[in-house]
Amino acid sequence: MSDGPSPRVVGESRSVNGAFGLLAWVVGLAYFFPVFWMVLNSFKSELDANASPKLFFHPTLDRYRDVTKSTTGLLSFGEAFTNSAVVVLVSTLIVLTLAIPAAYALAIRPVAKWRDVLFFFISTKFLPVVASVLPIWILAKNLNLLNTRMALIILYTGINLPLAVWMLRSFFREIPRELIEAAEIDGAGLKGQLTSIILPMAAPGIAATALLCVIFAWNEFFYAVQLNPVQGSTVPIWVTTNISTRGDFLAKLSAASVLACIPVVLAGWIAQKRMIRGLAMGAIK
Amino acid sequence: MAEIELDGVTKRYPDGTEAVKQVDLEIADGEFVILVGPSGCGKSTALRMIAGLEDISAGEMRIGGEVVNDLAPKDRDIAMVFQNYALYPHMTVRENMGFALKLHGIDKARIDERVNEAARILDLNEHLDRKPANLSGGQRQRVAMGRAIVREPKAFLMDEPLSNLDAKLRVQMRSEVSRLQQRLGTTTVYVTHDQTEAMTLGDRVAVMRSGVLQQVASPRELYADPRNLFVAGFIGSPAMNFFGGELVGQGVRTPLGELPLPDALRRSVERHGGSARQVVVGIRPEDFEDAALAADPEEGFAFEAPIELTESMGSEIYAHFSFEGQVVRADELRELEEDSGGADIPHRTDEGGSAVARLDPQSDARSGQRAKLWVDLRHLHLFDAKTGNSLTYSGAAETTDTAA
Amino acid sequence: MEAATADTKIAPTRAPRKRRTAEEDERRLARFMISPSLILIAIVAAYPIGYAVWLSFHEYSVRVPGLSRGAGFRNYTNALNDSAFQSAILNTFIFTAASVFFELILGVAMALIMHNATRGKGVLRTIVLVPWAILTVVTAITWQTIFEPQLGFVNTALRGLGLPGGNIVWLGDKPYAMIVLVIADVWKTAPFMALLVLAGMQVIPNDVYDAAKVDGANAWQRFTKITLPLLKPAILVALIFRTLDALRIFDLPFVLTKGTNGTNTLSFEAYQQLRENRLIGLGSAMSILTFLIVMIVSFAYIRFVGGNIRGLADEGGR
Repeated sequence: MSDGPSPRVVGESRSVNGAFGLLAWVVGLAYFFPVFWMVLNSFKSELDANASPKLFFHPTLDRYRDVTKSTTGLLSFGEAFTNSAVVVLVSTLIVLTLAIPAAYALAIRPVAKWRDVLFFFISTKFLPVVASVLPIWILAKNLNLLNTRMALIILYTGINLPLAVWMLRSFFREIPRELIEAAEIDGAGLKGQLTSIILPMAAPGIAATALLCVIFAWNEFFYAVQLNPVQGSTVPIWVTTNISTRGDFLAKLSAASVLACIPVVLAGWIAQKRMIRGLAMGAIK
Repeated sequence: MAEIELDGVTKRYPDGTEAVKQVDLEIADGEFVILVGPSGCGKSTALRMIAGLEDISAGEMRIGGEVVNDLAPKDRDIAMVFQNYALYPHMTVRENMGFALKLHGIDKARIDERVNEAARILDLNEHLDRKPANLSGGQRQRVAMGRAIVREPKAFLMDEPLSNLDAKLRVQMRSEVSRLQQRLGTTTVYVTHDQTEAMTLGDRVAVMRSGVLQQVASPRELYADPRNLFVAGFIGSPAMNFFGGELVGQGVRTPLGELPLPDALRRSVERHGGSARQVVVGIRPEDFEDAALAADPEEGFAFEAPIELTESMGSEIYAHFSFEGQVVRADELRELEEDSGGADIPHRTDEGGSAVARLDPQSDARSGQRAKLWVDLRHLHLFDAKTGNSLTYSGAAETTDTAA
Repeated sequence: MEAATADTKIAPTRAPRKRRTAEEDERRLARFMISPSLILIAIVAAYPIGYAVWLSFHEYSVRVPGLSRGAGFRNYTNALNDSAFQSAILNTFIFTAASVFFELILGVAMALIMHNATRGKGVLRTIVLVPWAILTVVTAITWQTIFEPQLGFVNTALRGLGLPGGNIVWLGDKPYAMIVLVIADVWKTAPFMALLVLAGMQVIPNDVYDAAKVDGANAWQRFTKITLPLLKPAILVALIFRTLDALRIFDLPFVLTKGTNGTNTLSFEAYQQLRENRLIGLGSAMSILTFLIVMIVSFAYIRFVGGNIRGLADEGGR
């Protein structure tokens, strides 16, 4: 099944299609200009990067070398990436493991007080982060979790859960009841229903949800820098170590940012492959 | 006037494949024409080209005499019923049916009038304020039909509208569709892969294969006078039996014996190019009979065969018998088998095959025994073994291969 | 469920009891499926709230470190009387309204383009993620350099094209700082909206659009009467979460402008008191006030935009 409506409608004037395409390109380019600029800067020398904007320069990989070389005592690129990778993957997995049943319960077999539960979930987003940092820090200290990856794993899981549950619930509700009931009659228990019907059909939604969790956890800086300044430090902390008060740092920062982006872009590529319509269509017959 | 004319209509995809090849079809105003064929034969694509949902790569499409190749669907004044109904999930039945009218700026009073009328005809009155999610499959199908009726268009285009219904409902709705079309008198083009639907519903039926129109004729003509092997094997249930044969002298040698050809058939074979020696002999189950019970024994040929299996239907008996001799291998037959799902059933060998005969319910034929059967020679169908074209077809001689 | 009660009236034998236990089992199962999430969220979110509330009703002694005493509502009145806090309320609302509005439009537009792209769909969808993938701090610094008054790209371009505004000190002047802030935030989070809306679009079957084409709808009508209504659930989820995030925004204004020139948000003010001024009580009170504001906004949201919560759940006729 194709991924969208048929390319061109008979009768829709070709010039309208062409204009729309052109506009999309222009807007697209303008949108990605800052990114393009950042990538460009990462290949410049500090002098070039901080001078007035120019497109032509001598490209160099020196900035990348600068940011990835290890200095004893300072957080290294490898260490930060490992920490981030572990924290992000584990917390996202836990989020999905907890959110899928919760979303199922709220979507397909509504609990009596589900509306309250949903409201409770989003109420966790009411308090400004600045206010939560201190209590969380104290809690982590008392549990001896400061400077550990576990602290961030638990924290990020808790932060991502509300959105995950809400989103997944919304996608689960799209699945036609008859399919689930048919599976039930066929003898599928909860696990069977999940694996054979719900997960495949909600795959786009699950991919989107997972991606959101990954991006949030990967880029989270505020809590990370408070809780794990010494050990278990993550990539955002590493990137900001490149911001110095003496001397120019823009090119180095750009290089560091580009490196920090790559895993997220990779995750995005994988996720968008799952977001194909047609997974749903085949089943509804 | 709402005739639809397809003039050399072709659909070519960017990679070169052609889903529809040079189709010429004329549909008269008020006619009910069926496009039928196996999956992938291009019938849905052809329908979508009539609707304007697919571009036409070559040829002309005319509706009511006007060339519509470049007209958008909304400007062609046609209504379509989709296989999956395509109802708007967020609108009620009433809103679904009135959507098109609203878009065309018709005033509310008239819309209500038409929607209520259609709802009455289709027995949807209690459901008008429900959403599609709360309707059964059959009800949704009727809403899809209602959406089309309300438009009072020049033509109805229906893309396998009944194929998602369960068997019993399908039979019921089939007669509903027929009655509706007769009552409204609107030109209708109907796509299906079910030959029973095609035979019972259409004024004329167009059989398609791999994008090429095989034959367009009334159901009766298609049954009695198929133009080639494909049409012969597609139309009729149970399907026509095929035997390998060789023209010898005044008859044709087949695994059943040497069948003498009646004069009319012999003349027809000569007309179609008498040089062909290898032929395929097609005999419908209905043209067999128990030799003891045959009505006109002189018009046929008797033979003996071992009965493998009998199915008693009450009104008739289907006897499966085996024969020895070469089995017909042809692309057409393989395609038909695949389409009907029988390709995976192991039953063909090179030493012989089996055929089905429809016998009078009083026949004594029993499985496991030999029986004396009789075949009506007047209704033999002979096909050129190489081209698949019929040698007994009453129309003009074929010069081209069936799958151009 | 009605059938169960009818049965108990007619035939009070073992059968009805079995059914009731099955229902109870279901409910127990549902509770079991939700509780781990509830517990974790309670720890991570509810506990800080409670703690912050406690802090807001106390004052730390300036002279004796570690000592605190009850302060009643004093922190709250101080907060509400603080002119900086008052301006923060206004600024935060302006920011939220502008930001969410533009994000929505841009997000839906991006989703449409991504959905209908015939070539390079995968690449397009991945590229769109990049703005969102970049660290906020880095984004802020990047936008700083772009809007730098002398050498930044914007002013250079404006001057070069002879357009007015080439001398604006973007981040150092009243309305302009907010404009840059909104641009930066919209740029960063429109992909989030686009992603949610795109996922929602994938569920709409193709043939509904074919039916609309045949019914006579042009592209705009198909969009407004078919796509948008069917996207309502996805858009609502995105809207609520984005609004809540926008009301609490901190890091972007912190890095971009240090909260100057009309960009001090509610979170920023709370941070000022908590960190810079070390007035924990006052800072906590500001935080709780922010909490209340956000809560009221979400209630209003769900009531007016999403129908009521019931409507939010029952759309689709199920």
